[in-house]
Amino acid sequence: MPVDMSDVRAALERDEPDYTQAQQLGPGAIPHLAALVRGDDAMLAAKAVYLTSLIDAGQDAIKVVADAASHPDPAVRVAAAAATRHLPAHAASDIVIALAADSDGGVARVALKSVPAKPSDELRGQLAYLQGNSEFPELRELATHILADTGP
Amino acid sequence: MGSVTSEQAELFAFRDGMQPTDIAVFFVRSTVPPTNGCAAHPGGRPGAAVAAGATRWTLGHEVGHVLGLDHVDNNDQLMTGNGTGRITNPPPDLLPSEGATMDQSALTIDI
Ligand SMILES: [Zn+2]
Repeated sequence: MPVDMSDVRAALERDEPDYTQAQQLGPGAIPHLAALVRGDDAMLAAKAVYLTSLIDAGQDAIKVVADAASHPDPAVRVAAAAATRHLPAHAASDIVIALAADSDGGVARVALKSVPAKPSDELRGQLAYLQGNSEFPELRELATHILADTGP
Repeated sequence: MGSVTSEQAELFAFRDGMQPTDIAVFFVRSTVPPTNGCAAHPGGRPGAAVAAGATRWTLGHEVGHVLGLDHVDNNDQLMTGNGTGRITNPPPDLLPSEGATMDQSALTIDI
């Protein structure tokens, strides 16, 4: 069944979107969600990237999350970081690497809290770097815990 | 009211100087998952979070939830479940029955 932008907006313009229900829109919603991520409403972009990650749409969904990871608004990057929790580990690791290095401590924190159970070697390398070098004490501590909790 | 995450529990613990019936509203940059606002709070710590990207009606809407109001399917009303950004004919309405519900909330006290 084709999905209209109006269906997608109706789901996301709610004050408290029901993501479980909105997920039923399915892969047909992805082009509209991608457009909202590129649009000028940051609140909608944040909701759109999060919903995208919950829809089983393979590479198309991964690309939308990767795009949102470089959004100028940190609130959208926070949503992208949280969205990686629903992606396959290899794709999540690549995006988390970018966001864990974010100059915005809030974005980096959500990225670290989204590190997959089996992070890639590259991500572990970055965690080790943050452990020693992050300007934010909370992130240094978080990186230390994650390295201890996730095996190579 | 609703289940809360450990992060929500941490946030809602900030109640210095507040009475047990005071509703704390936390203005945050964003929530995970993304919402305009969220009225879920730990038991005994009434409050709501409102995101920076919320509409001008989200604060009232979330406090309405904390005081016991549910969604309605009418965009003339504060408690519309379709998004307060879709409110037509502002300011949005509260029904007398919604006022009565809020009056009956344990958080509503005579002053
Ligand atoms: Zn609501």
